[in-house]
Amino acid sequence: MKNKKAQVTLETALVFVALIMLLSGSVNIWLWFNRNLAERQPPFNQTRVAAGSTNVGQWPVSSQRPLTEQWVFQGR
Amino acid sequence: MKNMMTLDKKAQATTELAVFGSLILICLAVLVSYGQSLQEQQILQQQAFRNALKKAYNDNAFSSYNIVKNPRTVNLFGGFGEGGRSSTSSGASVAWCLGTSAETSYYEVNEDEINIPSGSKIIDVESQANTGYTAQETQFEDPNAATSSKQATLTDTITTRMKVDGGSDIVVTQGLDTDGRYRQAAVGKEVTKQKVWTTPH
Repeated sequence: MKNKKAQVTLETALVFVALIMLLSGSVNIWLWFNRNLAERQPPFNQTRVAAGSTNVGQWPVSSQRPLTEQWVFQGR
Repeated sequence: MKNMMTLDKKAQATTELAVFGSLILICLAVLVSYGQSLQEQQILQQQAFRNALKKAYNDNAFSSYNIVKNPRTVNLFGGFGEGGRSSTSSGASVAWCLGTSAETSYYEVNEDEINIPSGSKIIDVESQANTGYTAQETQFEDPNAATSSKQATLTDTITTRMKVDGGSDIVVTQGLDTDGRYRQAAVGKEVTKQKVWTTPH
């Protein structure tokens, strides 16, 4: 009976580790979206005058940060 | 009786993990997909305004520029490498003219720009899709290792119909290209994804 209880605990612990890794990866992907949104707005605002005078309709105004394995697993 | 109780407890733990694990996976997939949509929406809003500005300046006109896109997003319920098709749109109008102004209208449907004839008014945009997906899984075993491979082929065609008030519809047919974007030049194109991995014995 004791052994069986330990087995359930062990299985739960293993699955829990996998779930935490998955959660952490997903949070990092969300942070990547958040960072992209924040990084795209300032160049758009800064090029407003040029878009209406010297460089009409300038687009695109920024490049997208690539989503890498390092970003997903280490958050940088 | 004792054995039955033990079995029940094991089954309960497994069932809980199976149910809550799936729920957590679904929640994560929905959140990631939502983040992707927000990102596409921001890009489209910025792009529509800049393009309208450019068109108004070039045409010396009151220009409206609308973008309709079908970005590929995460799909937990799809097959290997399949993903899902979502829909997002944005539009902007700019008046920038000297003297007599013209009135121009443009629709950017995915990667193709459509010039709407002068005087035509789009009252509705509808789209229909036709998807073909095939997947193959193989495993080869030798004394040292097992080599597995997964291969999937996807063809996706979108027909966007712009209904013109009092005129004939403007129809744009586009296919999925290898970069995940839809364009007219890619109709009938097959997108293939493959993964091969080896597990030592």
